[in-house]
Amino acid sequence: MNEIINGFGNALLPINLLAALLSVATGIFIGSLPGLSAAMGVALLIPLTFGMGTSTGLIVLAGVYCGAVFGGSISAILIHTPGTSSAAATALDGYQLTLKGKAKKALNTAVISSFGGAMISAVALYLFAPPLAKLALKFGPAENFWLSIFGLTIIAGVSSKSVVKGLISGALGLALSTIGMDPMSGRGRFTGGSPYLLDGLPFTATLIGLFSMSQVFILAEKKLKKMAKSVIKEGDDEGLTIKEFKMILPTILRSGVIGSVVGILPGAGGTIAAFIGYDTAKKMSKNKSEFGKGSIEGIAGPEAANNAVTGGSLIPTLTLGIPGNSVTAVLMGGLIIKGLQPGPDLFTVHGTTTYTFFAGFIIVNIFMLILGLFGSRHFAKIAKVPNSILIPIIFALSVIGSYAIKNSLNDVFLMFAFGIVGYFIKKFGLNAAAIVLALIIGPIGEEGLRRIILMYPDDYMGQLVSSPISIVLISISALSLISPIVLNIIESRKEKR
Amino acid sequence: MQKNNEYILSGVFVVISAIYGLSILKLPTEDTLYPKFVLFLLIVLTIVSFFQTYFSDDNEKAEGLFKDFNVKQFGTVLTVGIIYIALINIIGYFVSTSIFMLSLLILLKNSKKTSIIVTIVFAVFLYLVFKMFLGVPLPSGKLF
Repeated sequence: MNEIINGFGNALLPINLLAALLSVATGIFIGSLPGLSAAMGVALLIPLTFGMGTSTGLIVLAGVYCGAVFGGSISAILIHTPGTSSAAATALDGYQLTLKGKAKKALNTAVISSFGGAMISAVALYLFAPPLAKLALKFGPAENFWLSIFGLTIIAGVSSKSVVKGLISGALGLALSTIGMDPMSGRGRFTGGSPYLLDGLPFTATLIGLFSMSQVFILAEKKLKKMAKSVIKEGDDEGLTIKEFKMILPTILRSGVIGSVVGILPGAGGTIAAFIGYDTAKKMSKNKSEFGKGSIEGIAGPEAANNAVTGGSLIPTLTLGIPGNSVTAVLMGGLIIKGLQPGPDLFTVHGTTTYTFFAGFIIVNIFMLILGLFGSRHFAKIAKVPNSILIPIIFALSVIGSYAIKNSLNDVFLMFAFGIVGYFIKKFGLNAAAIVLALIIGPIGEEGLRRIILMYPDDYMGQLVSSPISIVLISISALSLISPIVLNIIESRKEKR
Repeated sequence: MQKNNEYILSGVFVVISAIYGLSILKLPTEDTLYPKFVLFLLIVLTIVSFFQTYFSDDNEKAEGLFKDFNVKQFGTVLTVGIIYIALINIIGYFVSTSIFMLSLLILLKNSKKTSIIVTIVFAVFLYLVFKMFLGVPLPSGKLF
């Protein structure tokens, strides 16, 4: 309990408050620009957090994450183009309200629901993260091996359109993770004789390449267009009334819980949560016919859900080291660079930092609420930066970001190479997040496997499946592989009918 | 069309698996167990993806991957970008970044006024954030 209160004390330090405010504003801006994703923003900002204290740096990353998820709804509501994919469901009813001259009402609903969803997920974060981290104490080498296998199977299931493509992306990531020193013998492998790669692929440079630089190429190949104009009408300044707030409150609570749960499930993400939130809101609503024509419940449903995913998705990331989506995968990279290994240590040895981060998560969302209520329109104005200006800016930021970590131009070359790789990954429908995930958890699995073989050379197969936790992990890995295939079959049968 | 792309992808993974497999041969035997496991995964998944394409219906969306590909614009960004990265070592970060920003902004058909303003604002921003606030040493070139 003391640590929780201390965490708030630390998070309220002026430097942390300033970091929270600026990072949320940056996040909202990035999120509201169609074409820029939350993962891209977090990847670009990791190098910026280097000069900061650990907690401050983490608050910045959380701020960008939460801000970007909400920011996506601004362009969804005003120009019918979701800034991030998780805001796609918000566009359905949000844009209809804008057309009716109720843009302000729609934006207010979005930010209040986002805040509500995030708060519910914060409760889940405080309640479930510490006990889950304790469970991680019981993990030995065999469990770690299966945990990494589990981590790879889940992302395959929901990530890409095809399970095989998700898995093959993961396998590619595993192969990349073996570059560098052998964890047991210390001999270099797959480095092509270069001492530069002995420590493995430089993580941040790889991330920036895969998520930010690749986006430059994606933006560059399409004909540049002028951004769509928003159609805010004159005199559109009617906010959300108390009566309306009471009406959407049950939806916010429900979607908040849905989003938190979906967030905890690794592999699922904001987009899925938002659509489930929208669907449930519609099913439970008294005014079903309003949906699709500008229902505020139709905004509250997806918005509370996608922002609840932020807190929920931090739970498996911080406790088991399995980031459920691309943003948390990138965020976890930031954690590791800061010297924080996910798991029980975060809640004991590094307790102060972790609880400061949790408190920061809440503060970040309070700033998001304030900025959203009073500044959404201004964000909408800035959000019209055309791609012809974004391309050079993201390019130059990727260069400085990858350089800043180790002051190495080699990292810049590598980042650029991964930008091209990332471009083809997107083009061929592979999954960059699965690759990053494999890069992170590959070494954990490898070490687990090698240890087991070293300890029990004659009976390593038996040892791998000896503990109950291992068996549970094997079962849920199998389940997460089979379930998307089964769901696909059920869906295609439904369609045939 | 769609199918062809998938075959290309399978081909790329055959090449990746082959390079990875050949590199494993160079390692001492006691270090090869885990890489062999990864290679096994790569090969199995490549075969699965090949057959998945082979047995799939081709009448899905016959949409090319590079349908809206704007060669000139893409080439411009790539070329200017490569020159930029190569120049950092010679003329230093600030000068090369400013030249890069200005030329690419103009080449992407922004007005001259906008291009100059964005370049200056961006340079000042970088200087303040990286040099003053974070104290990150920026690449200096041989000339500057």
